[in-house]
Amino acid sequence: MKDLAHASRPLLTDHRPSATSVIFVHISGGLSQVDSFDYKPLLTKMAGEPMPMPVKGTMFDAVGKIMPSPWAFRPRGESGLPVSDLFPNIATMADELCVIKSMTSKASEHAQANIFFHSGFPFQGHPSAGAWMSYGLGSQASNLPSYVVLRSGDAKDPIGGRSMYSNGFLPTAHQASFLTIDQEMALPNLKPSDPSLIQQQKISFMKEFDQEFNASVGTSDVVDAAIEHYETAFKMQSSVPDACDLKGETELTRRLYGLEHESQQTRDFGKQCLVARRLVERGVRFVQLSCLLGETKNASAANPWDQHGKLRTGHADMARQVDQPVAALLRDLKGRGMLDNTIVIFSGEFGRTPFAQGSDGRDHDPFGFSAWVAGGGFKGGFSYGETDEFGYNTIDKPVDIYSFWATIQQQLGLNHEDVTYHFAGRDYRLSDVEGHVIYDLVA
Amino acid sequence: MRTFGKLALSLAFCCLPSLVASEKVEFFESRIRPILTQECYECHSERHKAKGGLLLDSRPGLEAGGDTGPSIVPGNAEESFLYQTIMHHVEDEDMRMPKQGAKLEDSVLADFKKWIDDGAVDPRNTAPSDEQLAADTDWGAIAARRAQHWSFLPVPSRAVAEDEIALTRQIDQLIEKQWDENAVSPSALADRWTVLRRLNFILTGLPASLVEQQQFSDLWDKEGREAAVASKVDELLASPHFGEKWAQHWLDWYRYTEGHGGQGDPKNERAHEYRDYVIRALNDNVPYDQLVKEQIAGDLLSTPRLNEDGLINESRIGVAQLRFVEHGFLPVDALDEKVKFTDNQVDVITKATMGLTVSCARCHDHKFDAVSHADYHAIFGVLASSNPSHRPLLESSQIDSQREALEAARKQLESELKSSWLNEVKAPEFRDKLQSFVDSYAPTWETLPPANDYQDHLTLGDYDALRFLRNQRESTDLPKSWAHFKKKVLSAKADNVKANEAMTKELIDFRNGLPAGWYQRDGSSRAVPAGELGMGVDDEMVAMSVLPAGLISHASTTQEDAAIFSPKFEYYDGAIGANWSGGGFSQFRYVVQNYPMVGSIYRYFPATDSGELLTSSDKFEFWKGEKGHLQFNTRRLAPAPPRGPNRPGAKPPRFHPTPRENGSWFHVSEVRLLKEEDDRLKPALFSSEILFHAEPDFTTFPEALVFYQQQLLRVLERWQTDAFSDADALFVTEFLRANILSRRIGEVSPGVEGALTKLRSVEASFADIARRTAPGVVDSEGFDQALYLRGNHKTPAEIIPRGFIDVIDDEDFQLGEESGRLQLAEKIVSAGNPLFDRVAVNRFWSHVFGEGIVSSVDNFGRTGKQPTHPELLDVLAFQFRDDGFDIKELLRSLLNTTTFQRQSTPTATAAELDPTNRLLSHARIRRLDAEGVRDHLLALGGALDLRMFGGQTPPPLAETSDKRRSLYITRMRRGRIGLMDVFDMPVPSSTRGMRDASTTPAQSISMMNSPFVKLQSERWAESHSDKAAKEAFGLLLTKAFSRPPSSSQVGRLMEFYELQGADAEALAHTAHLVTTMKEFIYLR
Repeated sequence: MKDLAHASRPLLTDHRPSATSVIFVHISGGLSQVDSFDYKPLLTKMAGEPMPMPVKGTMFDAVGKIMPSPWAFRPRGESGLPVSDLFPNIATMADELCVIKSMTSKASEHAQANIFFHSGFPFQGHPSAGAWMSYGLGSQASNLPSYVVLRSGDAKDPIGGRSMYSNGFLPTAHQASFLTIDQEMALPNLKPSDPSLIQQQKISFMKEFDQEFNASVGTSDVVDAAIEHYETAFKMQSSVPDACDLKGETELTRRLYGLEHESQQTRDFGKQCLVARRLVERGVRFVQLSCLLGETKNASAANPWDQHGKLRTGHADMARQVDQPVAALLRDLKGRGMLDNTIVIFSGEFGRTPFAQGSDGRDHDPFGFSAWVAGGGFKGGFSYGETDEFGYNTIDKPVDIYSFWATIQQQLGLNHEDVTYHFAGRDYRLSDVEGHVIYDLVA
Repeated sequence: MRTFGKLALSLAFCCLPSLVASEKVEFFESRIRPILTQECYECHSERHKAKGGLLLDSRPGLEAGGDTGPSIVPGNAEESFLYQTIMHHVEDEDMRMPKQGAKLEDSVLADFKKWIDDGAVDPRNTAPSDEQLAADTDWGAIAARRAQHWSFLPVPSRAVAEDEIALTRQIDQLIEKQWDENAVSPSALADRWTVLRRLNFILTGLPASLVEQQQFSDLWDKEGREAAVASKVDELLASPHFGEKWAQHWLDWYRYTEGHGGQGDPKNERAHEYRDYVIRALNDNVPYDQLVKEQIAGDLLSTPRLNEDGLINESRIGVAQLRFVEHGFLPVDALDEKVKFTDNQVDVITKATMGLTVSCARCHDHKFDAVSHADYHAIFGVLASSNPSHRPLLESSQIDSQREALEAARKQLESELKSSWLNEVKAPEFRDKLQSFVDSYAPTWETLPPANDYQDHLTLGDYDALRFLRNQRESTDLPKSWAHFKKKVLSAKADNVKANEAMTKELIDFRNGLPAGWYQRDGSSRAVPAGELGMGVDDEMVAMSVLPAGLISHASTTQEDAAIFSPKFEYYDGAIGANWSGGGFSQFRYVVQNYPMVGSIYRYFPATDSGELLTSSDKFEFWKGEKGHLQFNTRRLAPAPPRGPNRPGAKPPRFHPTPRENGSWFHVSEVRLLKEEDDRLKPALFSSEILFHAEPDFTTFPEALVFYQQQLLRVLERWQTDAFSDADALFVTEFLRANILSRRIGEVSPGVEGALTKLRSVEASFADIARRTAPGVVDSEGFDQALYLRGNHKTPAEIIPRGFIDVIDDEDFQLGEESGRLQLAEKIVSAGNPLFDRVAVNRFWSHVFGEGIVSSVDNFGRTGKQPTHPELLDVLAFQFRDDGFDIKELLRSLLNTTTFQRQSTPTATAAELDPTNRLLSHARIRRLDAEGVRDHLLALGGALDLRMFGGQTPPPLAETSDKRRSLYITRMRRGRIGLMDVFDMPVPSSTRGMRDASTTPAQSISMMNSPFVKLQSERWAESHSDKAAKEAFGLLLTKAFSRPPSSSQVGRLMEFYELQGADAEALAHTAHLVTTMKEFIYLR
């Protein structure tokens, strides 16, 4: 079976890969680092005081006072990695987490920050990381796309829209496929419009005509490929639903992932986590998960973590949605021996300010925020980089998005400097001109 | 200022004899060392890196070689690995040097061969010093060498072809010459159906109808291939659908989009006017150079191009493309945002017109091409010297010719109103009206639209004349109350005037005309004394106010849009205040770094449409240190739609014109820059002021009413004289706003209504067009850009005068206040810019033949591809200019070639010797583009709606219900339609000369299962249900493939049809089957 992503081109891997797939949990809207993975006791001490350092302009121009975290931090696991009570389940997997506390972004609004985080450019038109991985690695999945974005429940396109998942100037084969896993039709037009027999008859007659046509033009490869894609498409009609069908999973697994959880949102997000594992098992290279709107609806569906107000209820609500399923995903991958070759990424497009917006919200902070990576050879129970004592600006070992992705590529066996594509007069790459591999992050 | 001038590029590069030792060193120093330094050191020097283990900055390094072994075999260039890599004679593409496919010029390669063959003499014992390095990387020398790249060299003069036929023949000869040279034999000419299908889809994007197929075939039989093709080409070039199909290409070149991008992708209002303008221009065969000039400076041309009836200024619409930039959502770094969107303008203009990636020189000199960091900023300065705006489509001379009539009608209206109001006031009932206003507690007064939705619009409130009557109607001692009122008003006035003076940093007065440095590109705003009418903007209101002295936009008519702009200034930790008013949601904006949208930290004031005079203030200290400007504009000229209120809960004003639209206007008396951020301008003009000129002669309330009546009478009488004051205007306005004086149709005198009807009838001759605007820009005061070191806008360095790319033309633009866009446009299209002509003809060629003579159509630089037929490219380029850039003539000469009309099956020699068909010995198989696929499906089902222009359908609706050509689907940046995406419609971000034509399973899934696709086959089946199946399938194949079907194919469809049960459903299945066939979406 030919893969879907550019079958004729060899893989661009140049060293033995530590990992073969990526699962990216996108915390759309912006996770507050000082409430989750970046412990700043000074915030409690200075609660209610103005920031004693210059504050950069924010979009809503409503800079408030220092706001302590409503969640207690505790050392977790053998490593003692501090994780707040916001994520009690993920905390149990602390020894698997490689927390980067010094992430930076060049953009402070959602659309640009999302596109920037995914592609390295704040404007649309450039390939997304998932497309780059598909381009660099090709597909090892039969009849499944190599780059998949999952949706369930009321999950929506994040602000910035689908251009953040774009193949940009890479061939269309590397664009994201959006699987709405709880719908009858996970992909647009996937549901057969005809009974299988009629479809097969159509394809068989079509092929006859097509071969005649192709012979009349001296047999073109392109036409050949187009004919073959009908076979693939035909099979995808069953292979995609099969990957999304959770009936075969055990009761234990279902419970572990939160599929029996009292919250609908948790159940829906849990399905994404479980389908992600199934897709990775089937060889999909890059799976991205999409958060749903929280039950308290304390933001919009596009950026559900965006708590400019009521952070306490909003973040708690969102954490309840993802905490158990993500922890389950880590545990399940580990149990199956898959965590060694699967990289799980957990990050928002930026973080949130240590000072309040209004009385109980936090504004966007692109200057120093936290992301974590697990599996795929990344160090577990490890933290890297530092923000200042308020958790506002990065002060040590800043990690820009170029180096972040360069390191992911490295673990996938790709040399980030060599995975390039020539477009409009220059060679582009995901790590642009600035990125380098951060070897300290990997074992 | 820039470091080098036009260089004499005259080094002799050929015929190099053998050299003696000193000459060999000299040769190395002058020819080899600079190349090594400029092209190789970045990756192969001690200072930078040693890629592949290779160092090229000293002889020892060169001799040692790299990981793959020695780099040089002295005396034998062909055997030297270094030479093989720069000749690209190596298998591994990554080893082709310099990196990124940028092959060195032939002359340089010849030098290297000679140098190595002569023993590779190299005097460099060690890596170079800083001084040596600086000397070797002098930009002047680099640019001079790079300007030798083929595309920069002049297009050689030659004899021009006498006519199209001669040119057509010449094209064929130049193509054939290469077949002969390469011993490749061409394929035979294609049959009539193949040629017709190609012509139809390439020229109009639509299939030929059955009748057209028959006619073409008849003509072919009667007059032969050549004549039939020539006549068909003429016919299709004259079709209105020609403009639609080629506009699609043009829109890709200029990344046409109707969304501003960023969060929510707000709509770029009326951007579709640009699309329609391109369609019209191509159908009218506007010369290519003229059209390109319009893209950059259409608003500045001394004689703009008008449409047929002279109403529309077509040229000005061209600059809409400067607005197809992507905007961030309320960016906190406004300058960063400006640098980004201006960069996109530089990028698109230089790629689209010249195939040059000038934007690559944003952070440093171009790595491969003769474009310096300074060149980039020279062009950047030109484009940054304009403000975003909307531009009217209406040609202003149309209003000029009506101006006298308009102003006469306005005068008539004014005089009718005056006498109508005088009569009203004189009538005894007037006092009853006044009394009833007072009695009613004036609910209308209280419910006037809140003035302060936006920041601090102040109403005059407590000090208004009528307020006294309302508050004091129970007063027991009216003279005492009056004395108190007078004292209160006068002291408030004195206090406010004093306070305003104290807080004023700068007073900008509009009462004597446009203040120094301010400018106006659209409209005819002018200063007027107190007493002009503030016109109504709906169908009922005649006039909402009488205006104090100031500048007004509607001296002639409220249908004439206007915008006035301040010079740029730097925001500080202060505030702004203005005394102004307006109607029809005109706006007062304070703009930061040309960001066109509003919301949150980007604020503005809308007029309130109630007739009140506004005193608006807002602090702007957030933007301290940023540059910006102030502007007043009528609603339609807002640079982008107002997107949201400044305060939660307030409703944003409408943007869309409505049928009730009677225009928009503004009036401004003064603007003040205020010292402190908390400063708020206070009202310094009260309507009650005029009451204190007279001695009060009332003690009872009825007497007070008489007093007011007399005062109003006096004011109205004064209106006929020069003595009418600002306070008088305010006084009358107050009676209007309280509805004591009539201002609505039905209430005013018949004379007023007659005068208004007259005014509307004069306006009617242009009002429909006046409602249409397009996004655009206006020249602001031009400035020279400071060079941003490493592209960082926070590190400005020396000032770069506005100009062009030095190696092409380094003449000073000699600019005054103007932006330089006109000069830039002239330079780009001038005969001295060979890139312009070559890139142009190559673009048209590429869409005729499926690939350019230079296949990298958007990149003619060193990293682009070489022309497959250099001489042909130059013949076409030379001819195109000589023919006055006649697009249709160029296309005609290409389409009539036999080269175009060949079969797509390669001959054996072609398949073997030229598998990629560089020599065009046969035609290229091509897939229809996204629009073509969708239009073809609609056409097959018989549903295609061929109406042209205007009205748009947003994408989600379009997929299922819209039947118009795909070109008219609203092209947003987000929320696009699936079918278009899977068939490679590009995301609008930069110039895209050639689209991808991918084949993916997603396409197959769409064709197999999409309800849209199935719907078209059902439509076809429905309309053919009354025909015999066999006949129907003959028609089906003819329509789908534009050719008569073979009987065996019809037979096979019959077989399939019967297999499906030979019923109505089976008919639709059969049509669906045909749409999934490759021949349906490919051109053979």
